[in-house]
Amino acid sequence: MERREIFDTLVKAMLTELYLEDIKEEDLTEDSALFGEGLGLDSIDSVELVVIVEKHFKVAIQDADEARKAFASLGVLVSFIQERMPGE
Amino acid sequence: MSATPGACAPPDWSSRSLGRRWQHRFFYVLLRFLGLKPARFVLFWVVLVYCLRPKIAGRAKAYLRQRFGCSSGAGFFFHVFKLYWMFGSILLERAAAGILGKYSVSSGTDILWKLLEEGRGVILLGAHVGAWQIALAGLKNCGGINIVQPRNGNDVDLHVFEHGSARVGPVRIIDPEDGAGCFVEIHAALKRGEIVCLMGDRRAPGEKLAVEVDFLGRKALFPGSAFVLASLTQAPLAVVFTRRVGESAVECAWPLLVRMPAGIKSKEAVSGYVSGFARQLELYVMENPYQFFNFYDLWAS
Repeated sequence: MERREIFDTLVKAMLTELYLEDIKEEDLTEDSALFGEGLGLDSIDSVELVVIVEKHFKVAIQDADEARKAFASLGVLVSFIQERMPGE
Repeated sequence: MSATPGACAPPDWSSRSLGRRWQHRFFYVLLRFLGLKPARFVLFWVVLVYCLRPKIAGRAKAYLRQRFGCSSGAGFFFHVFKLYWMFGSILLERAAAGILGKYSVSSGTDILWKLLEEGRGVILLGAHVGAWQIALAGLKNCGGINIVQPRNGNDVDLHVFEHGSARVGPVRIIDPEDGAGCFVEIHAALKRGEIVCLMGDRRAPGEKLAVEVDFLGRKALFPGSAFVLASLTQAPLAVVFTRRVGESAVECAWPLLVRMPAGIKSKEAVSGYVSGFARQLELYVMENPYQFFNFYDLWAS
């Protein structure tokens, strides 16, 4: 899967499954932060994010260390997925 | 003596222990070589001194004001002494459980085993009541146990599973102040089919999902994240309150078992569940007024 395709799939899944109604797809870039400012996710959303990544890309986020690295920004999460996707 | 650690620490609360490291060690040595009785004799004087120190006695003021309607004078001193005496006794017995293996826990593990067999893990939602850490020792054969609680460098009193002979395990601490990392760890533990222990009566710093519910006659803020987690993970959530019923003897009560529907996320959707929890806690506190150890003003706006 191409990087752009991962980005688009991820953003679409997040907007619908996390009910981010106030955020427009076109406003998001790879630099967008996931928590706090940016997408404004809170810590409990991280559980849903783990589920989304596993469901759509078959990539597991195993522990807090991995989550801290992967959730730095949208772009970092895309790289994390790209590196670990089966068959990539 | 320490302020009991909890899953959800408000910003002005710290898990920092009262007393210095050597003072805690002194009690551990006393317990190891002379047993509980001499340790309880020393504890009496420690509790008395704490009750005479306004800053320390004041930590129980919010609760005692709500529960007994008094926050000063002889009545307040009487209640605060009974409360701290019970708390100190439980902390001693917690150490005795770890050091001497001396404890008994009645009822509970059969319920837990049935829930664990479902393979989704179990969220145990407790409160700062009774002798939950001694009860934890009774779960030593239930596989992985994860406790969500803050722990800082000044928290010098040892938990039951940190003493050599306790053999409670494997127990892992998950730091709630880790934000997203904390919830990822909880999710991973539940996926492994393990037990995750959370406290339902204290909010995390900046926790958005705080629900205002009636508790002991006034509106109080309780956290709702545990119920959202149960909805997201579809893990069964069991409310468990422990009660000290005698020397080193603990009884577990399981007032609620909740199977959350999927998709419960908002404060509005979760408020009924939080109210149910608060109601059960209130019933417990009415029956066991000196076993509520949440030294934090739940009713502060």
